[in-house]
Amino acid sequence: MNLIINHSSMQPIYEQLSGQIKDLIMHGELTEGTALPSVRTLARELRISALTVKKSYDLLEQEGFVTTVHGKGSFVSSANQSRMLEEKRREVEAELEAAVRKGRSCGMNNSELTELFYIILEES
Amino acid sequence: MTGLIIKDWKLLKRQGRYYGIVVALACVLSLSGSQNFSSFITTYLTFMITMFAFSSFNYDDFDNGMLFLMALPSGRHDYVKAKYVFSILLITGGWILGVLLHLTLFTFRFSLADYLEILPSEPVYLLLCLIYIGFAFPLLMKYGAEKGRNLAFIGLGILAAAVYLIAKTGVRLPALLLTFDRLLQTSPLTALVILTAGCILVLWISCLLSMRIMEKKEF
Amino acid sequence: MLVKLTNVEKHYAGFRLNCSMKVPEGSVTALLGPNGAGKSTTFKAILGLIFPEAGAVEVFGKPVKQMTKEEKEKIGIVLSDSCFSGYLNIEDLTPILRHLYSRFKKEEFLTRCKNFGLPLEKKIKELSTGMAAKLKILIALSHDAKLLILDEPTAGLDVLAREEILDMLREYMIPGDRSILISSHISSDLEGLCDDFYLIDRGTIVMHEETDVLLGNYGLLKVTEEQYRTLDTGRILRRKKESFGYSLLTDQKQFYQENMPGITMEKGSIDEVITMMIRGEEI
Repeated sequence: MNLIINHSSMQPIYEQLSGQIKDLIMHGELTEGTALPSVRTLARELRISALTVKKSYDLLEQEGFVTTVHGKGSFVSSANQSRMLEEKRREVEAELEAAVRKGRSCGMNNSELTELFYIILEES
Repeated sequence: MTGLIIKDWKLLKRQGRYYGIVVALACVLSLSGSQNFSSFITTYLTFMITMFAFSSFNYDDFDNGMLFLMALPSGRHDYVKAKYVFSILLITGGWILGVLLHLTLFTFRFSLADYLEILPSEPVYLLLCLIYIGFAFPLLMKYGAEKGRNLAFIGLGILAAAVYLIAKTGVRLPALLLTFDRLLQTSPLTALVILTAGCILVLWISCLLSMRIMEKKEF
Repeated sequence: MLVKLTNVEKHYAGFRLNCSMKVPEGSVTALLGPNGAGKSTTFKAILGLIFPEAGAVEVFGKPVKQMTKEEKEKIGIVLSDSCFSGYLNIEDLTPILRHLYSRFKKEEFLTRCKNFGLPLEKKIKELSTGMAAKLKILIALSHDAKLLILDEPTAGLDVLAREEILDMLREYMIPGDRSILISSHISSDLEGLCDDFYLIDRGTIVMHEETDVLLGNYGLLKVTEEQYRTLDTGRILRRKKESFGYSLLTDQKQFYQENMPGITMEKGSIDEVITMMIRGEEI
């Protein structure tokens, strides 16, 4: 797993970590049943506190991406389709919002934006 | 406890050269002395090695070493036991060397028969040195290597001065000592047995006292 | 709980220790604080070198005074200014360690010494500071200890040596049932290792926090006098007068980030948090 922690970021490390692992799961790079590295091993690799890793694993478990078997470790859960879709939907929403903001910042009004949107829909 | 004894031994081995010089010096002095003086080599070597036993405490005290030693699983009791066992073995070893050298040099200069006559008095030096550490070690434990050793020497010095003064003034020695001396001549075995028993008793009490002192000490 | 101190008290001339702390199994806990704050005193109490006047010190669930030799063998120790006699070398140490610790692993110990380039025949006092520090850690790691008590193990070392030692400790922690209690001046090292830490100042624990929470939620606000006047100080822990106004320490930086978006906020590093907690005024 290629995980990169930004220590200067304002985002808590455990959030960065769980976010990146979530991404890997959703993009299929971590398949169902794959074992995540043990908490301590990952802590060593990333040079962070083991509790931080544990928190991110706990968060992933809460959100249904991972199941932890006591004594064995944490494994990627059965692909939680609706969850993943929901995540993806939220990403789309965010990206559309960003596009709209950008459009507005260069002076496009609602009708221009809507026109553009339909053109793109037609083309794809 | 064995670990600590090995530590003391390894540290002392590094001073082996000095003890070698002591031995050589003693041999030279002994060879140039009279027949009556011959016991010098036994007493000298046994006493010198007792001093080396004292120095094992110095190594421990040095550079704050006691903190770490007391934190080890062996703890305070094993530390004390190791010191006694190590010192007893060391001093006995030194004494044996002294006796062997004495025997060799004596027989070389005089006669074996004459040596066998003074043989019974040889163990006395060993036992006296052991009794001395019996008195000295609790002082070393309580006051540390430097201060304790100084106190032990002062004690020895006072004793030596007292003996000297008594001899000088011709005051009659206490009956106990006279009896012992006579016993040593007439029935040496009995005398030695009594002295050995006394020695064991002193060391036993000394060891218990040292353990009590170390138990209470903070580092 | 591998180590537990409950209201441990100890007085010296001009100094008074009163401290409670815990080290759970599987945890790396740090004890931080300025010189003379009481770190060494606390460690000495845990190792049975001094006897508290009040309170209880328990290791592996037992009062320290009642620990057996076998239980004590499960503790690996590094003290900042005390070790085996400097006149011994590693070759001398091997048989000594073998007899002191029943679970001493000789081959592994020697191999690791060689891997770190530690000369076996050189007396300890002739080793460089870095080598001596590594040796102390290797000794502590050589006998299958369940708990490491490390007093300033990285003091006086350069960055590379420190990182090597920290990595040794991370590796040590991989089986989940071990713990480390470590004290250090160089708190920044600990961000990458410790799960939680206690801050001690003048004999009392002034703070106990998880590293994760500290790095995630603590922040340093830098405000002008004016900004300070309008600020909600409910979530400010400490305040320090500066030339530009004030530095403020908070343990809820998200609150201020959300409600005062333009404000200058720095992430709290362990060093900054410590400085503020000790030097800053309480609010």
